Amino acid sequence: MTNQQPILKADDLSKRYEDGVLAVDHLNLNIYPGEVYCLLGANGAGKTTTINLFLNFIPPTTGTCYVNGIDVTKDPLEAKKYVSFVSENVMLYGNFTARQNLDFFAKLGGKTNLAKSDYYQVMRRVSLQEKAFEQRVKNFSKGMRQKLGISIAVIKDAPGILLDEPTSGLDPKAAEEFLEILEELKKEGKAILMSTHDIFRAKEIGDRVGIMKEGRLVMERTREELQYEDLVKIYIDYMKSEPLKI
Amino acid sequence: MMRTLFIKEVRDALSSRRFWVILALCLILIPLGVEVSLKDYQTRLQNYREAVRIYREETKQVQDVLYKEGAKAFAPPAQLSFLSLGLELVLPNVAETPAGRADPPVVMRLGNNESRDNLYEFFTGPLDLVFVVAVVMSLLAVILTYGAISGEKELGTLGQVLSNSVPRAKIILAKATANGLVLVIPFLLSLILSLTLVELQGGLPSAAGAWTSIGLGALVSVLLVGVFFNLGLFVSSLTKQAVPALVTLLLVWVFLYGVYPRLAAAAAQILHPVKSDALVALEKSQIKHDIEKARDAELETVAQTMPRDFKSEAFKAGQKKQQEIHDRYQAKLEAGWKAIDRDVEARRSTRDALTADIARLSPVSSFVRPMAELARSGWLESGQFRREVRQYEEVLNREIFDKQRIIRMPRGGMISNEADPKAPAPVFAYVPTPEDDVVRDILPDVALLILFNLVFFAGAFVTFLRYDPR
Repeated sequence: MTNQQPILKADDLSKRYEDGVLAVDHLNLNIYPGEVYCLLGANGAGKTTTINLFLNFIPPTTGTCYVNGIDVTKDPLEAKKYVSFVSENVMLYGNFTARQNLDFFAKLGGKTNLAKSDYYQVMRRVSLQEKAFEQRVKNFSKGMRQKLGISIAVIKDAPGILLDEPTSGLDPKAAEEFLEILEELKKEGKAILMSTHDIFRAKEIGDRVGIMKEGRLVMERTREELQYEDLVKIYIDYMKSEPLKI
Repeated sequence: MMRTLFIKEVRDALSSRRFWVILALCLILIPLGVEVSLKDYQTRLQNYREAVRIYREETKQVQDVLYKEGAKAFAPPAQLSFLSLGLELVLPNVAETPAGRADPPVVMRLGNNESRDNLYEFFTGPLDLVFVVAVVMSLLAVILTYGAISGEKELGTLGQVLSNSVPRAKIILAKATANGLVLVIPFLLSLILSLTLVELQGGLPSAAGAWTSIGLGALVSVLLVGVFFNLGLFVSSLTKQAVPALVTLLLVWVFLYGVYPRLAAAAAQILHPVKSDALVALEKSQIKHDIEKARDAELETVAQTMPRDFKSEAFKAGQKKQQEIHDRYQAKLEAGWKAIDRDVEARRSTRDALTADIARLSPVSSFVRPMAELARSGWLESGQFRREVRQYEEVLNREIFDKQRIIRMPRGGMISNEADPKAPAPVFAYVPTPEDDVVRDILPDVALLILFNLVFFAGAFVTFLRYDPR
């Protein structure tokens, strides 16, 4: 894995907000093709800020984010061609149908020649009910919206995927289905960065798991390492302890 | 990319209730307003024609002017008052000399013969295009745009869009063009429908100038709607939530529409006060009284030296001297009155210009004024009527009233008028303000409206480029 170029890379990344809060503190991160990296941490630990920095929603104070080798700050439009994003609450255009939303975001993602059947195929793949394809999104449940959100990421077919607490608030079945889709995307070679509070699912899906505290990455374990360690205990211990630099 | 964003904005707008409300309001209010205004104009036109007919029938000769009706001048109602009723109901549209014998120089009294049976119309204002655009369309522009950016941010869709390789400039341009068209097309369609309906009833003017005015009126209307539209985009890009954006916009709207123009008028009157017409009339009367008193004293002195024999040379010399005294005081009186008129006109003109300049900082004022001028129901037309009346006054004085002769004798005197009583009475023919003058007059306001549009859009554009979509 390490002889490949990382799709998502944070190089000594820091972000201090105007109010003085240091949200991300010298973060170094490399996520490779076919890898799921789960970022754990309490609220305010810096997980979402990290994702926002990758999306160039906010500029870093120091350091650099790279997507597919492209500096996100220097060339954000080029960088965003290689990354998809699914937020905690996927919010789409309520007056549009699922297909119309998918069509719009597919075109924004550069997929301009898709047929209705292509959209249907993607929505079937993420297990969205057929009857919802031509329904207005405003009446969708959160699970349905998350599925549609991941279908937007699927149809864009970018090598990097950023997921900001995507299973938060989903019922167990919907969360399980969501993770199955992630597993498929991983097998397709996508580099996935997922922030989450769900320790169990992080352990289940993550090839690597990192714990953030006060902007710092205080712990990182591989799937293999976690076979012999209790992630819950590690997490609780790190939450209690002073920040450590690894 | 731009096409995708544009189509999405149009589709989003068309699938919302707001668009259909806009369309319904335009299709109802604009034709209704035009129709009501047209009926009102036709009634006032009929009244004007009737008044002119009756006056001309009764005032055919100079003697009718001198001894019966006096002279009158009427301004026709503004044919394009469906654009803006403007100042039609308050500014002078009729001028008259005192009925019966009047001492020269005669000054025509200005008045307004428009009346409203239903006083509620004064209370609420007319349903002309100015009302529909300044109130309804500007509010709709605000309602259409307050959530354009902050609403999408609040909803989360903006983040989803910006996570793609989409230039922000294209997003804001697509929002501006698509939503702008969604707002302007129903407006223009409704206006065209209204004009077609009016044309079918034969109510539209045939003069090319009138069509220029209608076209410019539509342009100025679109510019005002654009100002509030771009202001909405700007405020939306400055806020993070839709409701604060809406509240801010409504407060700004109230200030620009209702508060600031009133403050401007009050400020101008305080900075540059102008005497009222009634006070000016009193001052003139005082001058006349003083001059006549002095004149009469001199005439009396001469009269005391005159013999009773009308045929004597001494009487004729006295009579000549009296005429000279009379003419001298007449000239003095005319000069005094003209000085007052000049002063008042100059002060009024300065005050009006000051009011307009202060008020122009509100785009609503920059819209209302040119609309009134284009409809020929504003200050320009009022000034034109005043000037025409002054010219008519000069004709009346030169041809009739200045020919009055006064002979003062020790115990009384006599007044005669040397004008031919059977001669046709001078007729007042009103010439409206030339089209070029109107266009020249409204150019600063049009330029300001364009500037407001550019400034607010530039503000929205620049702010959006740095907008935090989280």
